[in-house]
Amino acid sequence: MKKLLIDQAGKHVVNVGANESAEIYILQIEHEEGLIDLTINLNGHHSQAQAYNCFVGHLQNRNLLDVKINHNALSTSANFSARGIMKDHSFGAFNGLITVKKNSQDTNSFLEHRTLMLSNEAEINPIPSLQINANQVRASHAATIHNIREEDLFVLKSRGIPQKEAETILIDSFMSEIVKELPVHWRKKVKETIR
Amino acid sequence: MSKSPNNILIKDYQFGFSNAEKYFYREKKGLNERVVKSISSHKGEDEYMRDIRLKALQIFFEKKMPSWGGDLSKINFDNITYYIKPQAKKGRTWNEVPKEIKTTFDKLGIPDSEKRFLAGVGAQYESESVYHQLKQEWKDKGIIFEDTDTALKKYPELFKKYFGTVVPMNDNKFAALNTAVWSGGTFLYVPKGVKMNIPLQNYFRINAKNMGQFERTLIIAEEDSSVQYIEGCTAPTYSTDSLHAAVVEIIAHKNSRVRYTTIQNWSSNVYNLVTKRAVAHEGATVEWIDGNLGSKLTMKYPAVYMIGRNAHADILSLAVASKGQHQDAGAKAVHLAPNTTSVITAKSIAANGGKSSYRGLLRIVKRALNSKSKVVCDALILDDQSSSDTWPTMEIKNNQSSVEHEATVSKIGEEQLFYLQSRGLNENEASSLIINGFLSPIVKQLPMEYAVELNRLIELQMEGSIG
Repeated sequence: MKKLLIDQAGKHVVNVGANESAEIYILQIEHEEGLIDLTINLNGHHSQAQAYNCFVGHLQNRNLLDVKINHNALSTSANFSARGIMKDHSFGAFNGLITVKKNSQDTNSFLEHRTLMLSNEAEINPIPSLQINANQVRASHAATIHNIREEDLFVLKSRGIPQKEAETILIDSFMSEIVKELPVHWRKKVKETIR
Repeated sequence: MSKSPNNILIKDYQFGFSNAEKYFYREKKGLNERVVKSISSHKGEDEYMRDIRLKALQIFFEKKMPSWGGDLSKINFDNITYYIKPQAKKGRTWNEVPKEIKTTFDKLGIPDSEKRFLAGVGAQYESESVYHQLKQEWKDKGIIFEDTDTALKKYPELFKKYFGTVVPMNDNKFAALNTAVWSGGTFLYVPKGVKMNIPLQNYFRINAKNMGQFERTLIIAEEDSSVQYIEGCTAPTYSTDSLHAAVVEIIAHKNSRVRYTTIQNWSSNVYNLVTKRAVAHEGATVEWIDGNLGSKLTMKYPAVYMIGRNAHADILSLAVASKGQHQDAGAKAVHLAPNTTSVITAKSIAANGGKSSYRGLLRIVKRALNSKSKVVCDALILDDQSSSDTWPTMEIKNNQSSVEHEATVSKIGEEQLFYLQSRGLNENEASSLIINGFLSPIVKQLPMEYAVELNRLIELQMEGSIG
C-alpha cells in the first residue's frame, strides 16, 4: 500500500502497479500560491487509488489543483473525493480529468468535488472532465457548489442554537466526511482553520 | 459480458438521395470580397447590409480556427460554394415551387406534416428559402414568419433593431463567416400576449456537392408571448464535404416563453458548426431541445444568457455519434441576474466507432444572487471502438447560489439487460428498449410525430450495433 501526503505545491506522480493500491491525501489550507499537479497512473491489473482532498480558502488564498487519473490497464479503479470551504477573498480552481485508455476495460472511476461557498467575494471554478475510450466502463463525476442551506440553519436555530454556533455545526458536518479520512495530525489543523 | 461487436450493421442513410444540380444562379467556389458583394447584390440589399457583410468577412479572415473541439483541419474554405440560388422567385404556394425541389421535400414529408400539425412551415433549399407559409389565423394575430431575406426588406426597422445583438459578428470565426455570407433562415416575430400553442417549422436541405449553407435565424418573442419552433436538416451523402454554419439568435422578452427544437440529421459529410444563443429577459423561459443525429462533425453549444430576474433556461441536448462521426455538443447557461435558474440535461450515445463529447459552460456572476443550476450529463458507450468525453466548466462568483453537476459515462447495464432478457426479449430488443429509456427525458419533450421519427432513426442507427 502506497501512501502519499501532499500539502505543498509541486508536481507529483503516483504510479500504481498490478494488484497495488495507493492512498493519497491532499491538504490545501496554507497560504499557498502555487499549483499542486497530481497524476495518478493506474498501470496494472486491479490497480486501485483512493484520493482525498481537503481545502479551505481564506484571506487572499489561491487554491490551485490539477488532478489527472489515468486508467492504463484492465480492471482498475479510482475514487477521488474533495470537500472544502471558501471564505474571504479566496480563489479556487480545480481541474480533474479521468482518462480511460483504449482497451482499459472493466474500469470503475469516480470523482467528486463539493464546495461550501461562505463568502460572496470568494470564487471557485471546478472543471471535472472525462475522457473515455473504452466501453466496459463506469466513470462519473459530480460537483456541487452552494452555501449553508437556510432550511438546515432554521432547524438548528429552532432548537435554540444561536446562529453562529449553528453555522459551525453545519460546516463541521459538511467537512467531517473528508476530515475523518485524513491523517490524525492533519485533522486538528483543519479544524482550527475552519473556525 | 464479452460479446463481440462484429455484427455491426449500418443501415443506409435514408435521406441520402440527391437531385441534379440545376440552379438559377450558382456562385463560383471560394470566398472573397467579390463573392460577398455578389451575394449582396443578388439579394438586392442596401449598403447597410453590404457593409456589415464586408466587415464580417474581414473578421472571418482575421480570426484563427478554434484549436479545441473537433478536427477542423480538413475544411477547405476555397472548395466551398457559398451561394446557390435554386430558383428565380420564391414560391407563395406549394404549387409554385419547382417540381424537383418539391419532390425532394415531398419525400421528406414536409407539406404533409404542415397540413397535419403545424401552424406554419418553411423550406430552405441550398441558399434560399423556397417556401414560407403561415396559416391565416396566426397572420391575423400579427405574427411575422418570413425568411430572413424577405424580413430585411419588409420589416427593416425590426430587423435592424435585433440583428447581430445576440451573436455579434466578432463572436467567433464561424459567426463572422455566417454574417458575411448569410442567406435564408427564419425571421419570427411574436407580438405581445400572443400565445402559439402549435409549433412552426423550417426545413433545411443541402443538395449540391461542396455546398455551404449559412442560414440566419432571428426569433423575437415580445412580452407574455409564447412560441415553439422546430427545425430539421438533411443532405445527400457525398464523398466530399459540405459546410453548415448557421447563426440563431433568440430574444425572449419579459415573461415570454420560447422553445426551439432541432432535429439535425445531416448526412455524414457535413460539418455542422452552428452558433445558437438566446437572451432571456425578466421572467422569460428559453428552452433548447437539440437533437444531433447526423453530420460528420457537429460543434454546437446552445446558450442562454439570463439577463433579467427570474429568467429560466432549460436545455436538453441529445447526441448520437455513429461511424465516422464526432458530436461535440453541449450547452451554455450564463446567469447574469438574480433568481435565475437553469437545467441542462445532456444525453449522448457513441456507437460503431463514433465519438461524443459534452462541452458545457455554467457561469454565475456576482450579481446573480440566488441562482440555481443543475447540469446532468449521461453518456452511453456501446462498443470498444467508440469514445466519449465530458468537458464541463463552472464559474461561480457568489455565495448565494447553488450548483449541481454530475456526469456519468457507462455501458448498458448488465443487470438491466439480464432482467429484460429473462422476460423473453432478445438482446437487441432489450438494448433498444434500454436506449429508449435512456433518451426518454428528451424524446418525450418532442411533438408526437417527431418523437416517433426520432425513435425510429435511433433504432436504425443502433440496429445490431450492440456489442
